[in-house]
Amino acid sequence: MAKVMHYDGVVIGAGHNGMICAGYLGKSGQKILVVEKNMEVGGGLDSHEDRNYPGFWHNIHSVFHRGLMMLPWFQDLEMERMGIHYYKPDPGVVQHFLDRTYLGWFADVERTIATIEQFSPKDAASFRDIWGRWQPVVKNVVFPETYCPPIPIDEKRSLLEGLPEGREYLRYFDTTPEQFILEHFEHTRVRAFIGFLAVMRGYELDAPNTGYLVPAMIAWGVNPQLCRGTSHALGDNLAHMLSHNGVDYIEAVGVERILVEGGRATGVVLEDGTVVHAKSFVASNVNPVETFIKLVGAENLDSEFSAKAAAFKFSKTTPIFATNLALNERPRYITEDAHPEVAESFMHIVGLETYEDLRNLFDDCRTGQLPRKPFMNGATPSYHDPTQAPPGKATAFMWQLSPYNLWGNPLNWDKVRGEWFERQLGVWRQYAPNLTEDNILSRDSTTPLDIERHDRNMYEGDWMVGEYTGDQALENRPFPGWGHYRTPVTGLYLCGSSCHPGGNITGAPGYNAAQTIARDLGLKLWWEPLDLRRQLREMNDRVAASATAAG
Amino acid sequence: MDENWDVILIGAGQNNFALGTYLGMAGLETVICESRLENGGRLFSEEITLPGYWHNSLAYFQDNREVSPVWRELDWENGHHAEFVTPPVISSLLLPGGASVSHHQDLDGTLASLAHHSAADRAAWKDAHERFRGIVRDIVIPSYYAPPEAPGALEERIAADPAGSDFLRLAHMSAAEATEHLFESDAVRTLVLSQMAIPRGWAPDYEGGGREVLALIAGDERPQLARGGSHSIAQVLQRAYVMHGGQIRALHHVDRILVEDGRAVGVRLRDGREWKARRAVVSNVDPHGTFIDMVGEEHLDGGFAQAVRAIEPDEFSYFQVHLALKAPLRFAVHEAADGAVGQAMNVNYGPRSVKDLQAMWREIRAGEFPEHPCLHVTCPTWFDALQAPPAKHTASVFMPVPYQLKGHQPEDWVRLKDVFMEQVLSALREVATNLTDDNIVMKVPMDPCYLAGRWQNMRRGSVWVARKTPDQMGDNRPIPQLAQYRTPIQGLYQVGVATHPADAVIAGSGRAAWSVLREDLGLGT
Repeated sequence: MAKVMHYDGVVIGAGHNGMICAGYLGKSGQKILVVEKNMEVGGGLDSHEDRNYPGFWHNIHSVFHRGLMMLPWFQDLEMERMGIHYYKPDPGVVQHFLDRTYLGWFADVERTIATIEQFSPKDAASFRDIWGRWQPVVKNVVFPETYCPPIPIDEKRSLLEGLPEGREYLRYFDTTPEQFILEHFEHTRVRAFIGFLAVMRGYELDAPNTGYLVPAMIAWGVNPQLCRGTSHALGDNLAHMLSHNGVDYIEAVGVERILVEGGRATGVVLEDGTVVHAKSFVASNVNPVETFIKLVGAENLDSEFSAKAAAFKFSKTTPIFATNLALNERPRYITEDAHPEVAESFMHIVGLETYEDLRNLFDDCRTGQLPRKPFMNGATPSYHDPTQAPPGKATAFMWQLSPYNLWGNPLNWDKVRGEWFERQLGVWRQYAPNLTEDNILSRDSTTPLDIERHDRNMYEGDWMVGEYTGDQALENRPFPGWGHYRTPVTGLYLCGSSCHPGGNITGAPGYNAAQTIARDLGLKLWWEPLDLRRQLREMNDRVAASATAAG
Repeated sequence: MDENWDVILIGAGQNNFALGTYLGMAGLETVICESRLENGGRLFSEEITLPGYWHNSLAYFQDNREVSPVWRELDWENGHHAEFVTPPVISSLLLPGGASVSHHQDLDGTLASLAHHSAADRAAWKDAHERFRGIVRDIVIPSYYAPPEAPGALEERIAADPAGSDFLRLAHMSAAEATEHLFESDAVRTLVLSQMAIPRGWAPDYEGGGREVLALIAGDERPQLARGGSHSIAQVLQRAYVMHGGQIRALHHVDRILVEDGRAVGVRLRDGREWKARRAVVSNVDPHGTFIDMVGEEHLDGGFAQAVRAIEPDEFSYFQVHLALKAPLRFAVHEAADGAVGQAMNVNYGPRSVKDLQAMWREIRAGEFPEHPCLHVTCPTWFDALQAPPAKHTASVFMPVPYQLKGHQPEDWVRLKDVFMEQVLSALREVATNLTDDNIVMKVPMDPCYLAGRWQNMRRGSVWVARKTPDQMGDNRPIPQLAQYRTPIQGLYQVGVATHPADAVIAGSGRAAWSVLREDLGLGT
């Protein structure tokens, strides 16, 4: 006899977005169950102990987090009280070159600009200009847009056209990241630096309607932060947050089916046959193909929507091959002698010498070839957070963007794993010559296929969980017309990275979905959500008022 | 933030989770500092071969759950979503020529299997089960959840049972003596004795091991697999603890227990932060770690420090091989002869006789990788498909080995482990009929030195921390000065596997220590 449970709401998938969404609604008084397929909660917040040497912890997925402690959910849900703390290394990023020069991204923009200046005074000037012009755009448009359900473009245009920061935003809205970069920067290294950092956020170089994200990134700053005690600490502590807010969760059992009765989601059936009734809602943190095609089933959807769901695109350029090392001593970069400050950097980029390298990588990923010229970004987490390695020892990793469908079949990664690891290590060694055999205690790899194996939600190893292109961004994410976290099945919501604003550890899809669900259920909001629409209207009113006053 | 607590608990194992939950229910603010990232200590499951394959890399089943008072009191089952599966056969010992002998969950199943080997042993098992069952269930197991009693008190209660004096006579023997006394067949004796080291921590010649033999026969211990893997249990304990207000800090290594005027007042973390404990500090770490490393000998009298240093570790540690498989491990020849083998949670292979086990112990004590190994093989996915990707499987092999190999340093294991893994697999292939190279997707060995580095309280790979010899058991565990969970440092308490009941049941010392803390801190009833 199958077990039966009763809840107000069920959240499918204990990734960070699912847990944030459940936390808000649990604190609103809803009785919620979060169901996680893996033994460990956290989704991409995943860290493993080295399998040869204990005490070395590798951050298997997400590592570079952006200003989480400032975010509304972090504060609303009192994550600091759960013990979460972030290190903020400065510089945030250093790109090393073989001629022992570097480009760096510092907390102080003038120091960033100084590193650009050595290659191109013109690019330095351009960078300073964009940085200054885009400060209000980020503050008043891009940041609140991230943490609000998206506003359809026509309405948004009308709200933005009357504002200087709005016009700035719209000016680049129709472009691609590459168009913006080529137009504003001339030096190949500067182009590569900025282009790669955009790509590492999950953007596509040639995707229309995403070009504005590059100046936004420049003005926002690339200052990644490191979670104390590995990324998984955030996942674990989000689970503790759930318990504190009365939310139940279970792990190690997946959802087999979403129950739909009369066009309404009424619960889920788990892999072990358990039936969980959901009185108010079901929120899915997993991608729309899994949610609709597998869990809801085409029989509960109209054929046009099913076709849309099945056609949801995954990125060919976000999957990663990770080389993780347990080391006697940290990597020492060739640039350190002349520039000791680079040792403090969180992110290190090696092997990327020209913009051409980046372009070629896109071609290789899309055609399923091994990258013709490896270049990578990585870090030495234990340098900033000594708890991640035994005393005096080090952990370090490098990520290579790689195709999932290697030579047409992802299983090929199991065959080339060892060989490709050495290829990446060889490139890394050119920039960090102390990565000798004596120094390396243990090697550990994660292939694009492994990403999907661990996290069934990340189809094709795409940690963005859906290509970030104009037709799958903002109010078009996951599909045009369905950018509001609701679905054609009443009571069924999406709350994961396949929704606005996409992948990465932002918590925004979960935060935004919680608001939508709470409003639909008529719950009193105990938190004060950001409201871009209201903010833009007020700004327009102020502009109008000052025009009247001036007139 | 985080600087002041009522009670600081060191180590996120089952005992501190239980104790912390009781303290939270009493309204105290507590924090658990865990030096690893994952909680649960030995209740651990990980994707050590490939993502999607969850291997239990130490504890792989749980017994005596349903009779545990702590399980009931903390509502672990209903309140926090624990799910278990119960394999019908506990252990099958594979013998030459396709023969086997099996210990079933159900008494009649066991008796039928024993009858193939000896009618007398069948009768002896049945008799022991029936006569001693009440003593084990009603007296012995409840004693695991309370502080150890004064010498003689427990025995007096047992002696009052009609079968009490027979029970005590057998219980005082070694496991080997008790087994020899009860059974005539070498197969039956080997079945029992092969389960003494793993998973119980007893050598066959330790005095008092007879009690373990009787618990195995008469205890209806009902070992089960936690659905999804052993770590699920830790997650349940964590949920209960956090739900009652507890806080957990992972990768927070405690370097020092702060002592002022003979009283524990807080801890210093490896990163230099100091946290205060208003009421108590509780250590779930081994006594050497607690007192020599964290308290420091300057706060201890010399005799006590000497006694802590003299605690004897286990004589053996665990060597493990974890396999990601396409098809579940099968023992076709043995299964054809007795279907029970195909339903066994635990398949033991290696010892054909008590003599072989004796040889294994000689080899372990001489520091050799056993030439007469005792392999404990489990294929959890046969019972719980959720521990591997759809239609895929996991299997694990556990075997007792010395912590330090003769002529080697413990650190040498990392170089030797692959060779030993192949040796283990080739031995296993004698009976595991589908363990072909093609079936193995990935294989990973885990050695004793790795174990000791991972769980630092398992000093010298000692899973039970303090050897289960009579001088370190009961009200002497691990030394008389620590046996009541109090320590020479006021406000500092010792729990964990080094203390009574030596991990024979879930969270026993945590609950027993709760009764001590409740009294000391005046927390009412």
